[in-house]
Order: sequence, then C-alpha cells, then structure tokens
Amino acid sequence: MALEVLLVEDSPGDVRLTREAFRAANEAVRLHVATDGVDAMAFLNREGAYSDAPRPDLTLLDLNMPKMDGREVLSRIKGDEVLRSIPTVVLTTSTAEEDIAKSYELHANCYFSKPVGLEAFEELVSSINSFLLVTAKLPGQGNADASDTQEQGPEGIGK
Amino acid sequence: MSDSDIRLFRRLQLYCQVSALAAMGVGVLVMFGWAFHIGALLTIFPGDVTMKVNTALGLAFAGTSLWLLLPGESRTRRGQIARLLALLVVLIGAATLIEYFSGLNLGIDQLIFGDPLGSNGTSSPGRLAPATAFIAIGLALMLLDSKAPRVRWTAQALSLWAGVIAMAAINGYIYHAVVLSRIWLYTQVAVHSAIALLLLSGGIFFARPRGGPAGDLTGAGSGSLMARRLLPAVLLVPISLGWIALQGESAGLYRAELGLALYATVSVLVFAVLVWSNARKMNREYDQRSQAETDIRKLNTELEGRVAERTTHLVQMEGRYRGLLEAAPDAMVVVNVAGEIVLLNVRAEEQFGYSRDELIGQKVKNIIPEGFAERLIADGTRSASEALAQQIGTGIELIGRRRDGSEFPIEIMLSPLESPEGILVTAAIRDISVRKGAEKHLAQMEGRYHGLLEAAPDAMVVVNVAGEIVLLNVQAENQFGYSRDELVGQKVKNIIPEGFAERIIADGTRSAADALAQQIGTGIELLGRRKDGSQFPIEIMLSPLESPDGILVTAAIRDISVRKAAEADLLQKIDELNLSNEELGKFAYIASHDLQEPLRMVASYTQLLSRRYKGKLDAEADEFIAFAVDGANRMQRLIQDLLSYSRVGTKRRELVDTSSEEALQRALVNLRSAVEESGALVTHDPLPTVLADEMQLIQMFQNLIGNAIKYQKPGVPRVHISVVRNGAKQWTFSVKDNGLGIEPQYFEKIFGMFQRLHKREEFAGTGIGLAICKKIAERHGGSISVASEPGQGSTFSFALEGVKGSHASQQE
Repeated sequence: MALEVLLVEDSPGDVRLTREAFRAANEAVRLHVATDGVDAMAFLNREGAYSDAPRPDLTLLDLNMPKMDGREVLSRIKGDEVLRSIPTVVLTTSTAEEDIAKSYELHANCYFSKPVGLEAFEELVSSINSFLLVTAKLPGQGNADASDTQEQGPEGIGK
Repeated sequence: MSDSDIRLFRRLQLYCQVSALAAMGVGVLVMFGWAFHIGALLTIFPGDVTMKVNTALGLAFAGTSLWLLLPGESRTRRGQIARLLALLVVLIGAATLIEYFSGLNLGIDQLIFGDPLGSNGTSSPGRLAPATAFIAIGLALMLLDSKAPRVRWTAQALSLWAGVIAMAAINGYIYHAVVLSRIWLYTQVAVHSAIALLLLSGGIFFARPRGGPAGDLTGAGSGSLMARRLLPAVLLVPISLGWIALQGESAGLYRAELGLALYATVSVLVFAVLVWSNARKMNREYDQRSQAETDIRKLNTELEGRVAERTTHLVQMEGRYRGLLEAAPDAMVVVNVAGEIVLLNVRAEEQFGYSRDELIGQKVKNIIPEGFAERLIADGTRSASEALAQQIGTGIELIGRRRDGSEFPIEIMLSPLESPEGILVTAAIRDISVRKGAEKHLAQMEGRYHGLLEAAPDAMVVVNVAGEIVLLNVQAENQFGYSRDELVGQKVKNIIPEGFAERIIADGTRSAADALAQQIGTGIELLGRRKDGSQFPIEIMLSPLESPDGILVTAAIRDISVRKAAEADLLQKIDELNLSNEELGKFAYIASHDLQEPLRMVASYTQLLSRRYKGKLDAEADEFIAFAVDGANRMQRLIQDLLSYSRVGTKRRELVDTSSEEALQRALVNLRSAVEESGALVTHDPLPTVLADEMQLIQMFQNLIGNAIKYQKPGVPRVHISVVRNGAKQWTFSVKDNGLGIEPQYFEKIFGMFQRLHKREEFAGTGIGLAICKKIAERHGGSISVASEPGQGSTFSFALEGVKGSHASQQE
C-alpha cells in the first residue's frame, strides 16, 4: 500500500535529493511535490489540476518559499478542521530559534533542519520514513473500531 | 599820700602864702610909713628901732618873689621875675654889708626916703641890720628850684639861717636883751622886721616841702612825725620858760642862779614828759603799724598764695590744653580770621617740616595753599557769619605743602572757637597719603578684579543672598541680551528661572548655613532665559564669596547650547550606529543563513556525484570532485562559525545566574568526540555560579577547550580549567593547556576575525573561534587575554561577575 507524501519545496535540488533519499529509504512512498504554498493548498484542497490528488499521509513543509511561505501553509492546514489531522513536518534549512518556536506554536508535528552533508540528509529522510511512516500510527491506520475513521477518511477527502 | 599828709601840705601852702603876703604887707606898710612919715608904721614900740626903707623894700621884694614862686612853675616868666626880685634882695643885702664893713655911706638907707627920726641904737643909722639874713633869703629864693639837689638843700639851709637871725632878734626883744643883739648882729632889728623875716624864712623853707631838710619834717616817716611833734615844744618851751624865769627874777622872787636852775629843771621835766609821751605814742603807733604790717604781710602772703595757686591752676590748665593739643593724633593748627596761624602742635611741625617759631604768625596759605583760608574769611559773596558757619566741616580733602615744597594729601576737620582774640578756627589736619595710597591701590585692585571679571570667557553674575544681581560682566550682557543697567538689582530668577535662586536662599527646610553649603557646586545644568524670552541650556558653577555686604555667590554661566546639540547629535549617532550594527548583525545572520542553502546543494550534489561516479570517470575527475567536496565542507564550517559569531551580538539575552560548572559539562559533552579522539585529560577546579548567558558561556568553554585539544604536539593533551576570586565580585577563569603555545607578538592578533597562526594543512579552522570568545567576554563586561610560552602551553583567562554570596566550594 502506497504511502502518499506531499513535499512542499521550491528548490528543485532539494526536491531531487529528497526524492533520491526516499527512493533509497522506502519503495512504497509516493512523493507528490508542490513548489510553493499556493500550489500546496491547491493540492490539499484538490483544486484545479489537483482535483484527483490523494489525501497525503505526511506533509513535508519548507518554510521559505515564494508566494505563500511554509508558515502560512502550516497555519492554514492546522486552521482547517479536515486538514489539521494530516501530520505536517517542517523540513527547512533554518536553525533559527524563532522559526522552530513559531512552527511548534502553529502545531507543526515535527521540525527538522536540513543537514548540509548528503549522508546526513539521507539519514534524516531515512529516520523520517522509519519513524513517521513505518513506526508511528497515522490517521486511517487504526484497528476495526477505527473503521469509521477509515471510512470517514475517503469520505472526508471526498467531501 | 594819706589824708593827713594832704592836710599838712595844704596847711604848709597856706602858711607860705600867708608868710609871703605878710612880708609884702609889712614891707609896703613900712615904705608907706617912710613916704608919709607915719612913725607908727616904722616901729612897733615907739622909741624903739625903726625899720629901714631898704629892709622894707627887701621884705616886699622877697615876699613878692616867694608869692610868685609858690605855684612851683619856675620856668615861666613868673619864675624869672621871682628870681629877678630875689637877686634884688641879694643886692640890697650885699650893698648894706659893703656899706657896713667899708664904713662908707652909700646912701642906700636914704636913697628913697630920708631918716626922719634919726638913728637910734644903730651904729650906722639906716643901714640894714640883718643884711646877711637878706643875702641868705635872696640866695635861697634864687636857688629854690635849682636842678642840683645839693643846691636846693643849700637854699633851704640858707632860709633857716635867715630864720635863726630873725629868731635871735625876736628873743632879744622878749628878754630885753639888746646887748645880746649887739653882740650877735651889730645892728638892732625892728620887731616887725624880725617877725616878718622869721615868717618869710619859714615860708621859703616850706615853699618846697618835699625835698631837703623841709622834706625831713614833712615826710611820712616816723622821724618826720617825731620831729613835727617835738618841734613846736623845742621852739616854744625854752623861750617861754626862759621868759617866765626872767620875770620871776625881775620880780625879785629869786636870784638868777635859782631861776636858771628852775628853768633847767622844768625844761628837763617838760622835755622828758614830752619825749616820754611821744615815745609812748610812737610805740603805740609802732605797735599799730607793726600789727598793720603783720596784717599786710599776712594779706600779702595770702595774696601771694592765692596768686601762686591761681598761677598753678592756670599753668595746669594751660598744660592740659597744651597736652591735649600735643597729644592729638593729628596735626593741629589754630588760625585766626585773618588766616594767620596762632597755635600749633608738634605733629603739625613734623607734618609740614617747619619749626613752631617759623609758623606762628604766618599765613596758613603757606602750608595749605588752597581751600582752607578761603573758608575763614568773609568776602564779597559771604558775610562773616556765613563764613563762620562754613568753617565747621569734617573730612575736607585738600593738599598740604611742606617746607621743602613737596605736597601731600590731607583731610582737615574744622571747628570754630570763640576767644578773647576773636573767633579762632581749630583745624585738625590728617596726613592721608597712606589712605590715599590704599584707596588708589584698592581702585587698582578693583580695576584688576573688574578686568578679570570681564576677561572671563564665561558669563559671570554675582548674586546676593536675596537673589538679586549685584554685578555682571559683558559676556553676561551678551548672553542674556540685557544691558547691565537692566540687570543690576534685578532678581536672578528673571534670567535663570529655576534652580539657581533656590540654592541661595534659606527656606523652611534649610538653615542659612545649609543654603550656603549648597551654594558651592559645579556643572549644574539649568535653563537660561534671554530678554526676548527664548531659553537656552546653561551650565553654572557656583562659588560663595564673603564680602562686607554679606555672602555673595559668583556664578560662572556657560551657554551649553552647542555642547547640548553635540551631545544630542552624538546620542543620535550612537542610536544610528546601534541600529546599523544590529542591521549588520542581522545581515550577517541572514546572509550566512541564506548561504547555507546553495552550499548544501553544492556539498550534497558533489557528494552524490562522488558516490555514484567515483571510479567511473577518470582519476582527474575524482580529484576535482574531492576538491569540490572539501571546499563545500570548509565553507560549511565557515558559515556556521560566522553564524555563531553574529549570534553573540544579535542574540542579546539577560545575564542570569548561571552555573559555570554546568556550562563546562555541557561544553565537554559537545566536545566528547574530539576529547575521545585525542585522548586528552580535562580537569577543573570547583566552579562558581556566575552572572552569564549560559549558551555563550558554553560556547566560550567549548571554543577554548577545543583549541587546547586541537593545537597540540604529540603526547597526551592536558587541559585544566581553574578559577580565582578577583576582588569582591569577580571570578577569573583560566583555561590552561600543555600545547604548542603562542609567540608573544601574536597575543593580540589571535583574537581578531579570521586570524590564524597555522596552515590549513596543519590545523583546520576558520579563525573565528577566538573572535567569538572575545566578543562573548566583552558581552559579559570583561575581556579575554592569553599568557603563553611557545612549546610550554597557553593559558586563556577571562573574568565574569560573580553572584552574591557564591563560592566555588559551594558548587561542589
């Protein structure tokens, strides 16, 4: 079963690196990419070209982007009743304290800064995969009594 | 001359006049008798001797002469006639004497009248019997007023001689002793001739009663008195007694011898009684006189005593006044209204250089040329009383002139003084050279002080304790835009509305002394107000000044508009600089942050390239890729260090109580791999709690210990962190290693940005670590320094402020 991951990232270099790293870490991950905040919101709300877009199991959000930055996107996701349950992780180059604090205030599920080295980056992506996608239980992956949730999920998305 | 004396002389005068008239009368009557042959006139007793014509003429002449001489004016024509008559008397006497001695009949007796009765009892009929008496009388009359006292004496003696002759003749008549007269005087004298002659000789004798023998009788002395008393008895008693004795004898009562004995006995008795009574009287008188004398002497003594007393008093008074005058501290000169000096004291002598004698009687103008004499003397424009009124004056300043002509300033005080000599003016003259000198000096000093005040670069205002402006300089005028006159006497509040006057004046909360103490102050910044109302910032310095008018406060006022503007400008610059620094810090942070993005790309993709294509391209490609990877790695470290450095400045956190022990432990955790790789031994003292930014303190320890481990020679690196108390509140931390050490010339340089002492091949590094340490030390209000010996190791030290009551030992 494929794991839908939305990467909101404006840098093609980072997109490629992330794709490479996920490919090495988990074959089951299907990486969707939005290159800015507006694009990301359209994907999540299945607007325009993204009308068929799946509801992501995980969103990786860069902070500094054109048009609508990651903080705005985070704020909208967590302000939306339907979208707020999607685990949203900040993945950025910033190590600034205020960025970290602000992100968690906006209910980011996690905050990672991109390491400079290739191997370090690959390790980080591997960690995200193993912890958030494999180990952690995500909405829609619960037991029978949680079938409502499973049913609700597509319905919710469908709505 | 006593009353009795006057009476005596009057009587004598009268007697003289009577005697003169009697002589004249007798003479004229006898001549009348001869002329008309009246015998009764020629002789008193009929048959007796007649008076001859020449005798009568002599008597008339002599009487007239005496009459004329009596008033005593012998120099007049009257006197001349008198002496001429006297000469005629002498000539008649002389002619008679010659006739008598020569036996010639010169016919003098018959010259005028013939002898009608025939000469009886006369050897030479008609000849002058008492010729000598006439010569004596004439000479006496002529010599009466002679100049020589001896001659006058002789004249009186001559008159007495004539008197004796006359008395002898009279006695002859009384005792019927014609014989006697023949013996003595050759010729009998007619009775009335003798009496007239006696009277006349007495008159001549007493004509000049004050001199000669007459003087001895008329004198006031006791001798004269006695003589006057005894003389009548001497003249009368023997003659009377003799006559009585003669009568008794003639009556046949006794014999001549018994009569003489009786005469002598009675004479002695009478004279003895007279002498005794006289002596008794004189003794009484003497007693009275001596009593009187004693009284007089007593009176005299008393008087003398009184005079002496009075004199002493006067001398004393004079002495006192003189003493007063001399004791006066000033020169004193007393001047009369004529402007002449009457009196002066020693000081005046000294002051003007004259001696007393040279000045007394001189014009005061000689010593005070102007302004003094003018005050004394009334002139056309003033009456004497006005001049007097103006004499009183004090503190009149004039010029005095010394004897040598030099002049000096004086001050005179005048006061008028009424005296028997008229109004005098006492002038107290003070030499005021010294005072004038002092005044000049004072004026000079004042001038200097004034000059000093005016030369002051600041505005100077002197204020009294009432807050009123007393003095100011031209700078003050300019600064406040007032003229001097507008400010002097005004309240200082007008130009410095607040903060100045309050300091000067004591009020309810302060005593005057406290207020004074607060007057002293420097650099008090206030606001000044110009005349146009505009205000400007001033700085004043106050200092109190004691003066005769009370305490004054001198305020030096500086217009600090420019300084204030400069200060404001500076503050603005500082703000701008701070802003700029902050922006720069932000820029450095943002720049280094944004640089990470492309750097990550370069680093990641060169690594990816290296991983996927190593060995698949040629050896050169592999080398190029290795350089790119290395460059990317270094750049990464550089950017991270830059970020750390900029964070020290931009990330300002409050300094809080921080455990340096804990900070060290955290630093060591961060350094764990480096410590383990090098096998270093890191030790430390017990560390205290300090006031610090914990993150930065960790960074500090991390950098210093990291360096200590990194810059090592072969062997076991040893690092020791120690701390010592430095003063009351500071702790000095030291990180000591046994590493390479540093040359002294680099001690400063190593704390600079990007400064490195080693090649990259020897030790990797960015040259930012110690710059960060320096910045952290400064951020904590201290500094960092190094002590080192190359090859022996280095010690880096920095100080941090301790926490109250914290001790290193308590942290264990």
